[in-house]
Amino acid sequence: MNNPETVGFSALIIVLLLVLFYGGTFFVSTKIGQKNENADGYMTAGNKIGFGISAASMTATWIWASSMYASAASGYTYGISGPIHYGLWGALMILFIYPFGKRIRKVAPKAHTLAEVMHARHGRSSQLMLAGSNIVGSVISLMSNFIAGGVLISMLSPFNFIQGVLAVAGGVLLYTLWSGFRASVLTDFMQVMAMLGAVAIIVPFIFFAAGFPAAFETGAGNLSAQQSNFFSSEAFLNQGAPYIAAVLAYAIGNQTIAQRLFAVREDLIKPTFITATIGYGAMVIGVGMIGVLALYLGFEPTDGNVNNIIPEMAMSYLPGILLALFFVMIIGALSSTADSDLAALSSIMMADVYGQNVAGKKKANPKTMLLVGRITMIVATVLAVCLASLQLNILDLLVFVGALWGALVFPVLASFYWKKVTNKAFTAAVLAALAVFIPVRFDLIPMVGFTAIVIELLAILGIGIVLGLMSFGFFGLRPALIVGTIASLVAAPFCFGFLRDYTTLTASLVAYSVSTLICYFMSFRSKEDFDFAVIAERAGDFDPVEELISTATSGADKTEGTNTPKGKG
Amino acid sequence: MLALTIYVLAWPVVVAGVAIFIGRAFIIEARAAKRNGHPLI
Repeated sequence: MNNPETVGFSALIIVLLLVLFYGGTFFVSTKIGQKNENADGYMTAGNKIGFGISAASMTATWIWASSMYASAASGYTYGISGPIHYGLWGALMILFIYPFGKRIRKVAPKAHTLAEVMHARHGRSSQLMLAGSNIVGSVISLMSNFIAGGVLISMLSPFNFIQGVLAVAGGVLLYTLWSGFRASVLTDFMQVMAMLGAVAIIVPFIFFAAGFPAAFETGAGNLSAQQSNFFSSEAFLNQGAPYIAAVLAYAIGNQTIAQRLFAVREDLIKPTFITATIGYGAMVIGVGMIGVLALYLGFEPTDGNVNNIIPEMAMSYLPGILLALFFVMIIGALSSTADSDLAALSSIMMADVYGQNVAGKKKANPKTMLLVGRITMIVATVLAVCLASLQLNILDLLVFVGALWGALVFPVLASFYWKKVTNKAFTAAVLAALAVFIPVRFDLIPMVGFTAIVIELLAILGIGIVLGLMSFGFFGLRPALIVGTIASLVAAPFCFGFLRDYTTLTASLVAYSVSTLICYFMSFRSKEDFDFAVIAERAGDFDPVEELISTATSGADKTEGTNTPKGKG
Repeated sequence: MLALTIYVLAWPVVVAGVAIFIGRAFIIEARAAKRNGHPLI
C-alpha cells in the first residue's frame, strides 16, 4: 500500500509549541520555587506528596517515549496481542512491586534513594552497585529521551536532529534545575494530563480517519495467522516473556520509581501504585493500537524502521491541530522521564556519593548537597546531549544495566525481609549472576550439550523465582514457595531443549536464579541478626530540623498543620 | 469486527477515565492545601 501524504510544521510553529510547552512547565515550576531550597525537599519533597500528584508522577515516569514507540512496534510486528505483551506486563509490574514498596517505606520512611538504604542495611559495596547501575541507567535513559525528541523535531519540522536534542535538553533542564524533584513531580502532573488527554483523542481519530472499522476486513490479509491470534505464542515468547523478566528488574532497581516511593505519603502508596498501573497500561496499550492499525492498513514505515510508525501514522492521518497535540504528547512523555532521571541522578550524587561517602552522614552540609545536585543535573544533561549527538548503539549497555538490576532483585528484596542476608552474600550474588549472564546473553558459550542443559535448568529456576517473588509480595513466603515450585515444575518439560534458542529471555532468567541461589546459600547459615529499626536511623533527613520547619512554613503563612519532621537520622 | 473495534477503542476510554480521576484528586488536594495554607508540594 502507498502511505498517505504526510504533513509537518513550519519552524515558527515548532518553536511556538516548544516555547509554550517548556515555558509553561517552567512557569509552573517557579510557583513552587523557594529561594532557599532544602536538600531533603530537593530529593523527596519532604516524603508527603498527595495522591493526585504522586499517581500522575508515577504514571508519567514509567512512560517514556520508547514505551509508546515500542508498544506500537509490538502491535505492528506481533499483531493484535502485541500491545498487550508490551503494556500489560509493564503495568502489572507497577502493581506487583507495591507490596515491596510498602515494606521498603516502612523500614526506611525518610530515605532518599534505595542505594542509601542498602548502605544502611549492608555497607558500601551493595550501595555502590545499586547507585552505579542507576547512574548508568539514568544517563542512558536521558540520552534516549533526548534522541527521541531530536528525531521527532527533525521529522516534523525543518530543524535538524541536533537542534531538536538541544531544544529538549535545554527545556528539561530549565524547569528542573532549581527545585529538583519537587519541580519534576509537579510538572509530571501537567505532562501526564496532556498525554492522557492526547491519547483519548488521537487514537479514536486515527481509527476513523484511516477507514476503520471497515479496514479490519479489507486489511485482514495483511496479517499472518500468528498476528491475527490474540493468544499468539510468538508474541508471548518474543515480546511478553522477556519483558516480564526485564521489567520486574527495572521496577525494583530504578531510582526514579524508588524516589516516588519515598516521596508519596505513606498511606497513599497503594492507591498511587494501582492508579499508575491502570493509567500506564491503558495509555501504552492504547498507543500500541496505532501499530495494529498500521499493520491492517499495510502501512510501511520509512526505511522499515518500526520506530517511525507512530510519528508517520500521526503525520498521515491527523490534521494540524491534532498533530500539535500529538507532538505535545511525545514531548511530554520524554520530558517527564528525562526530568525524573535528572532528579534521580542528582539524588544519588547528593545522598549516596556526597552524603554517605564523601562528607559522611553526620558532616554532610545540606547547602553543599544542593550544589552537588544542581551541578549533577548540568553535567548529566551535557553528557547525555554529547552521547545523543554521537547516536551510539545503546542496546548492549541497556541490556547490561537491565541484567544488573535483574541480578539485584532478589538480594535487594531479601535484604528488607530476611535478617540473615550479609553484605558479602549480596555482593557475591550480584557479581556471580553477572558473570553467568554475560556469556549467555552475548552467545559467548555454545548452547549445546551439558552446558545448555545447566543453563536451561537455571532459567527454569528463574521462572519459579520471578513468579515466586511476585507472589511473595502479596501472599507471603509459603504461597510464594508453592507458586515458584509449581511454576518451575510446569515449565520444565517445555523449556528443556527450547530455551537455548531464546538467549535474551534465558539470560535474564539466569541472572535471577544465580543471584538467588548464591544469596540464599551464603546467608542461610549466617549468624547475622540484623535489626531493621537501625535503617530508619541511618537513612534519614540531611537538613537540620529547624531549617525543615522554616522551609515548610515559609510558603504557607505559618498556619496550622505545619509539617514538622518527626525524626531525624 | 465489532469485537476488534471495541478492543481498540476501549483503551482511550479507560485513559480518559484515569485522567478525570487523577485530575479530580489533584484539584481536591490543591483546594485543601490552599484552604489550610499548606504548600501543595
